[in-house]
Amino acid sequence: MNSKEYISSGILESYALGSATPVERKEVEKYTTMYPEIKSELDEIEKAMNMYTTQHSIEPPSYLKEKVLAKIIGVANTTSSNANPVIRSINEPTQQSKSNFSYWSIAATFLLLISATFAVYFGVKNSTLDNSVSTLVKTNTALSDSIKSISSNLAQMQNDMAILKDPMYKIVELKGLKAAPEAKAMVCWCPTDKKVYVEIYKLPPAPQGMQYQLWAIVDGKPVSEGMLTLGNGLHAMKDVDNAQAFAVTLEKEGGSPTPKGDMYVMGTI
Amino acid sequence: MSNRKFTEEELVASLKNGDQHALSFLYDNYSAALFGVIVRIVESQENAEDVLQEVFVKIWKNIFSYDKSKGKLYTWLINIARNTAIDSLRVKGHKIKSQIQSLDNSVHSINKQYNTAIHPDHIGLKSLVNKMKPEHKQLIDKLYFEGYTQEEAAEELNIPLGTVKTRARAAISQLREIFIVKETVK
Repeated sequence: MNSKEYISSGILESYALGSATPVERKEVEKYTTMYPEIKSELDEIEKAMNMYTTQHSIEPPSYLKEKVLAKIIGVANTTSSNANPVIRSINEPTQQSKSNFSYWSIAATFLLLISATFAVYFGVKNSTLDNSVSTLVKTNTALSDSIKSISSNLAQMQNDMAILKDPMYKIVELKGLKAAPEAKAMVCWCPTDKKVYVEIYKLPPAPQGMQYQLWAIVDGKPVSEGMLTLGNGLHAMKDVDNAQAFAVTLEKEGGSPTPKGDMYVMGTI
Repeated sequence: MSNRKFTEEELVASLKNGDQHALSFLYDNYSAALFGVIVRIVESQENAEDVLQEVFVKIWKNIFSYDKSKGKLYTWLINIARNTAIDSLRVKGHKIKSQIQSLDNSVHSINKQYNTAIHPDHIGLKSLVNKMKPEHKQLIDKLYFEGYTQEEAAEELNIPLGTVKTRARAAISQLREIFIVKETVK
């Protein structure tokens, strides 16, 4: 075959223009590998056609690039064949930055562990402190309550002591009678300002529906001094003028105008 | 990173590796040329955009079959664009031969739809290309951009088949001379 004749036949141009028949195409591809001068001629023809094509360039709309790339990524991801390349993201780190990444991840993990340890430590410590604080608050409340109670008792005792030490008051001891020989009480009475205080040392518990009542004996007649309430210390009762004796009887709850029940203690002035 | 430049060999190798930078570079550097070819063939904006997408998918899928000993990457890419565009017309039932609308008019109207980005370096060249004999340009456009077979071109242009062959060769010779002149001027 004469390569010059082949070149001048126009078949290479047909090939480059895409108008060669399949048979011609095969032939051209075969000869270009066999004859360098045919190959170089075809290269020149294609170069000219490429230049010609470039003259007809039209910039596609700007949005198309993203669409095209997205479509290719979609195609690549749905293709399982190994022959197809796997898309690597533009942002995907290179091999070197991968090792950087693992360095940073180790550092980050380490810092995370340290901070987690501190978090747990302070968390535990904090909850311990919380417990301590609440214990202290409880103790403080209890102390404050007992101080209140003590100071209240102290005020009561100071009050009682003032009465007991007061020379104006007559101390009357009320002794147990037949109904309860062990019973014992005390009345403090001031004849000048007529005040009466009573303290019960010992009395049998009042039965259900019954209550102890204090009486002053004035000119041989009992005058109600009021109902007795339990509790330590002196209890203020009704004022009385010119009493000769005091007695306690067991009456129905709420008391009675005149003593009807048994007398438990009595003392004369 | 995205401004990275590739030589043709690097580009092909990177594409085979599935490198997205390469894909992006490919698009940036070849899409206008491919789109120009496609627009010339399919004559509709929507179709041209669809075809361009299809072309890039084909390039991506077939990059392994590209053999540089058989030709330049550019030629290979343009051929994929041409073939895909022509196939899309056949699929849609167009008869290539019955495209009555004049090529110049259609391209003119489509060019208006796009911001045709002509490289300043190409302007002088374009005027040189316009110096081609009209019958040469017409034949090359029919064969190259519209996918006519030589027989179809002969029938369409009402010239003998032998004339198609010699005229095609003469047209490309003229193109080569133009480009040689251009390179010498440079």
